[in-house]
Amino acid sequence: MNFPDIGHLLEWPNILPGLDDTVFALNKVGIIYLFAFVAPVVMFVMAKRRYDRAEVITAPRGIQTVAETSVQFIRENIIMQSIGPDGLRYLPFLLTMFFFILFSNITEVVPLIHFPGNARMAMPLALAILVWLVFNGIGIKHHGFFGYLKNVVIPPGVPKALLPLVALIEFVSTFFVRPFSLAVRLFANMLAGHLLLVTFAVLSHTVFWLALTDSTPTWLVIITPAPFLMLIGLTAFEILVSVLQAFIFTILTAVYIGGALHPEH
Amino acid sequence: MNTAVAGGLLTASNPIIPEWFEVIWGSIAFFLLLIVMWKLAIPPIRRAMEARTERIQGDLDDAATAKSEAEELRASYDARLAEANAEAARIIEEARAQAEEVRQERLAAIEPEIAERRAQAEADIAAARERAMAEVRADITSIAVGAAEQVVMASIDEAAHAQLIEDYIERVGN
Amino acid sequence: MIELLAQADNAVDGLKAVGAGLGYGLAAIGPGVGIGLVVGNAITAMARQPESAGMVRTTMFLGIAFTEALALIGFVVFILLNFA
Repeated sequence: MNFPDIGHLLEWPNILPGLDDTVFALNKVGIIYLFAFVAPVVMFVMAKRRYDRAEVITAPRGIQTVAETSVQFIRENIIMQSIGPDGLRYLPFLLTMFFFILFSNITEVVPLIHFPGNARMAMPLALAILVWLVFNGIGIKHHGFFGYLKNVVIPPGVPKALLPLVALIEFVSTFFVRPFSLAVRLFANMLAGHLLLVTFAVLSHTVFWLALTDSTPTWLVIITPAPFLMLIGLTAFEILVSVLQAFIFTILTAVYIGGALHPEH
Repeated sequence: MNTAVAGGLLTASNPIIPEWFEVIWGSIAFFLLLIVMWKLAIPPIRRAMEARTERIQGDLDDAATAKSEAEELRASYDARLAEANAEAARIIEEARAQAEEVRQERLAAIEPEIAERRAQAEADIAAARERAMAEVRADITSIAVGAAEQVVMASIDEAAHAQLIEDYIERVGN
Repeated sequence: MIELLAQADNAVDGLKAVGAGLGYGLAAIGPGVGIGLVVGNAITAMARQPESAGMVRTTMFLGIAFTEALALIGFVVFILLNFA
């Protein structure tokens, strides 16, 4: 069994001629990110065309249902539960985040692509930094710099003796652990999923070729389908993980924004 | 471990460190998506959803109004029906009372006449009986006297015979 | 693991590999128990109050996400030690 080198699994060559090693080099990961931009746009433009065409209000149909369900889902299950009604203005941001992460994750199981864009640290880190800027910006805008800092480091109902310790922990956890864990969670989940799929794909391949050799013992031939069945099961599991990670990233963003807006909760 | 460099692969060997060009393309894609969503895609969807919500709410309100109207109508019909029933019952009761009254009146009116007729009849009967009695008594007396004469022709004194006749008549009279 | 050791130029690389494997294994213990606790208690809560299942599920995913982060940091350390 020849397990490929990790760089071979994760690093992709540039396809734009003459741009090697520049900041505009475009590789498979970049294309996946562009796909994650195009796919939701196509979906929403198709949904939008129906609104423009229909003079009267009709029941939603087809792709429109998906668009409306997602808007409804973000609104009811993420914003209303984590921020409250005043968080509705962040709906486009959270919806964008959800779809971008979802579509760059789901390429992990799309045939012929088979690589999750977020298994590279690029976008998880960039999005985590963006979220960090957004929730801190919202907190500072609503409570002032020192008011926000006080809200963060002094949680309500802490005994005086514990205050220095709690303040230190809260400070570190809010300003350092939050973006770090946000980025690492998404990145490591997708990377681990990708490595898992690769492992079982390589295993299936190896076992299959072994089964075709005459010298292979019978028991090994009998278990030949096992890694492949496992691969199928893991593919289903990775679809779940892709959606779940997009959901978790989005709802954590909403929770952080909610915490910056309403520190009393 | 050396990562593969062959085939134009980029040489960054640490999987944790992000590549700048990937960040650039990802950020471009993300912000384009954000702008499209914010400016183009979401407003019409939200408007349509709100309009639909409003319309459905309006329909529901209309239905509720119609239902309450129907309820009112039904209540008024029920009330009128009950009224009519009560009216009918009242009329029947009145008619029955009137009939009873008329019956009582008629009975009361006819009572003296009946009594009078009954008394008349009783008087007639009594008179007829009296008359019959007197006739019978007279007939019997004469028959008895006739019979006695024939008997007495033979012997016995007047007094004893008279006594016998008297007794006899007395018995017959009773 | 044996292949990895054979490939290692010196003992440091071998120790790195051993440390990475052990480190990931140890890092997975706590989150494993933690996720079990989170999901178990969430199921108890959902069974007791099915009407609040939606809210409990959201909170459960949040709890899983926080707990899982520790295991993932272990995984990242594993990757760093082996491939960086």
